[in-house]
Amino acid sequence: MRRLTLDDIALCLRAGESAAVLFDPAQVTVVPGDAPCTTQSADQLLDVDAGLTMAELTETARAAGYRTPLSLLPDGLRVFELGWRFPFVAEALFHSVSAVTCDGEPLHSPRAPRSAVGPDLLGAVLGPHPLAVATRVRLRAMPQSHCQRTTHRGSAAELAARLCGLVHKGAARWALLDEGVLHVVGVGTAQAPALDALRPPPMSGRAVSGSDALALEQAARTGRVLAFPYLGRAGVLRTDPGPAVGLALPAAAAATLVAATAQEGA
Amino acid sequence: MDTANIPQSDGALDRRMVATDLWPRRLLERREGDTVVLPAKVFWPRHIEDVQRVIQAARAHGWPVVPYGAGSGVCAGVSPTDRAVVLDVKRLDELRIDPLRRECWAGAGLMGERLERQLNARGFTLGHFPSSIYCSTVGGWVAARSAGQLSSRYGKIEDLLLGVRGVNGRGDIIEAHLDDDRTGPAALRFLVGSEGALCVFTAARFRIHPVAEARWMRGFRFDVFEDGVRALRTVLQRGHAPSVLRLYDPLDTLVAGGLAAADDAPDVIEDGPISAAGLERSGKEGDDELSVTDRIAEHLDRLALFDKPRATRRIVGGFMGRPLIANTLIDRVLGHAKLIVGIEGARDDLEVRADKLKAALIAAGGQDAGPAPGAKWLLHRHRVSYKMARAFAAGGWVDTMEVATSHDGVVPLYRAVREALRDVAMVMCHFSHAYVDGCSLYFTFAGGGHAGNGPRSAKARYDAAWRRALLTVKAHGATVSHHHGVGRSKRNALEHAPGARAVLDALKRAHDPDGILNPGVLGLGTR
Repeated sequence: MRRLTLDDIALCLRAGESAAVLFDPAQVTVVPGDAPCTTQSADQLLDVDAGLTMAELTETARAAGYRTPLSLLPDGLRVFELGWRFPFVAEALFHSVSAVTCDGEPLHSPRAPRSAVGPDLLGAVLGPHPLAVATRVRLRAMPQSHCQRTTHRGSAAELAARLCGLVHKGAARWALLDEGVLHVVGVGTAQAPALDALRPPPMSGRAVSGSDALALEQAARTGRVLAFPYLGRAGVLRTDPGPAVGLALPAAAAATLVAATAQEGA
Repeated sequence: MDTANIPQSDGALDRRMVATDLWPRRLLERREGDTVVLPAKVFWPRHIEDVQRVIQAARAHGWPVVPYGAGSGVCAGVSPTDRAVVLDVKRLDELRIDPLRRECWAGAGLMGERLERQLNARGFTLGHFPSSIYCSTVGGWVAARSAGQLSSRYGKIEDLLLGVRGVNGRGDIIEAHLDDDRTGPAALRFLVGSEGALCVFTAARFRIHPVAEARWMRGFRFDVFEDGVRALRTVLQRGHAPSVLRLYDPLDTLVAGGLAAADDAPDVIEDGPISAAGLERSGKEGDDELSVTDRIAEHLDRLALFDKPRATRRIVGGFMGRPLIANTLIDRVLGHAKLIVGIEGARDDLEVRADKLKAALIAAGGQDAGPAPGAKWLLHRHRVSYKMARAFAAGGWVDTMEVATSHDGVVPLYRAVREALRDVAMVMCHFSHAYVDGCSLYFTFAGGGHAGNGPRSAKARYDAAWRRALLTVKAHGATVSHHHGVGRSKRNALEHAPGARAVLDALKRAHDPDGILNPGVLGLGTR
């Protein structure tokens, strides 16, 4: 059996290109524009520049009256890197994206809920073999005034089962299982802080089946489990660097990419 | 590449059975005597290796390959040429349940109802209940991004999916999983919704849920339709997590039988999940099954606008061919909108959750209409898939368009589509897939017209309705499909920026370099 890899697709994207450079996230610059963050309050979405760091985004969202669980991730991580290092987080929180492909062309995913038509273009910015760099992202967030946080303690097995139950019910927005404590953030009347940043910060993440209590328990033993019960999604945050980001960009497109993203940001 | 041992047929009847889906435009053509193009051969693969051998042979000979589940699609996703071979996957119907991990592997050919019954027997549910559950397969769900009636709680099929297995156009057996470290969720997201153009699905891996202990359902009446739309958003954004949340516009409310005045009958918490309730009965005919024409006529009779009931039916029937007059009349007599809500879970929780939900809907402008609307919906909820033929047999036509947009965009889009189609079709709409960040609008168009190809023909009106509707949808920034797929009928409405086009073309080249898999759907490989 042959496992599917995105290298097949990246190879086709690069068809005809003989010169390629190894993709280095540090070389990519997405310049934030004049409006780094706007709110779509009817849909509880934040429209953000992908060049923002997690720290900047958390602060900007807070100022706009919204919370996200992104304060759990490394302060310096930028939004466009989220899909590469923490694809399960991006898959849950990215509502839609504008991006530039490795050929330097623009890409926009549909801006409606569950709106992918045909293959989901959001896939282009997810995983360790991205096909595109996000320049602007619509993020799912929660109004601060709606947030209520509850905390539960117990054994790993008990808390994993409880988290599994939350995913089954689909009611809470996000939940964190961390060293014998389950933090749950959902809609409520009380004003409560979002989850605090963790130390040491995670370096990578992978999806786990949210309906699988055994997998959640195992994941909790190797890292912190972050779940988005209302979306049926869960994953584990890990301190190891994870798979290397492995897209090779055509040399000519690399310059276009930086120019295009800067232009789009402006 | 030897396909001799794979069950197959080149008999005309067998080929006819897999030659089309339920695209209404084709029903119109057939009513007027157009013939159906039959594929060259149909194969019934028994396992994934059979699929692989057929695709390898097709690649060698240049045969187009069209996957076929149960043929319930409505977008011309199944439209083989006379050179094509059809892979009817219904023999790929194995089900493996892992109760500990709460997941299952289901064969692509497994019919929805059979899957659900087998899961129920082990105490689980998939939570996926499309109205076509009796006549659609797992493979079709995944290929077209299906949505079920309980999507507000369980999500669409892509939300339930953990992985897929299939054979691509290279003849390679492929797998993609949500929890695959090497690809992240990208590979899976690229394959779901590919409508047979990238691979033929042979099995899907889903997360499954324990069957709920009890259920509560209730109807609400909204005198102001827009209040009902706002109520959908409020309920979801406030975390009530209903399993069923359906709002019908005034015309759809009328066609579905209307809603009695406020009813404060006590809450009824019943045993068993919403999902199982009515599964036995809801596909059968009932004496209260009335056509659109009958429902409108019945309503006019109540208003005593015309002297005799039979005359009313004739008048309304005649108006189907004169949509401008019909729509003007309808707008003047229409009333309230109906909302049906249902929750399920542990019996202990339900009473408290129901009280909160009821309070939220009343605060949003709803009037409690009691448990009867929910019970009635449960009884009828799978019938819609079998009504279409009757409308065509009566000389009319009917089709549905399911699109999605943000909450802010719902009412403007709803009004714009109704206005755009005012002189070609009667338009009604319901909202049965709502999310925290937006909503799907499910329009039903119904019209008439002459035979033939003239400007007042049924075909011309049908085409005009779709053309105008899709233009309106695009102008409002909504998506052209939510859960029926694109097929060939909507492919011209897809517009992609160059980067998106490049990614889609690269996907097609990577998986199907010779372009043999379901050519033409989604517009893939047509450049």
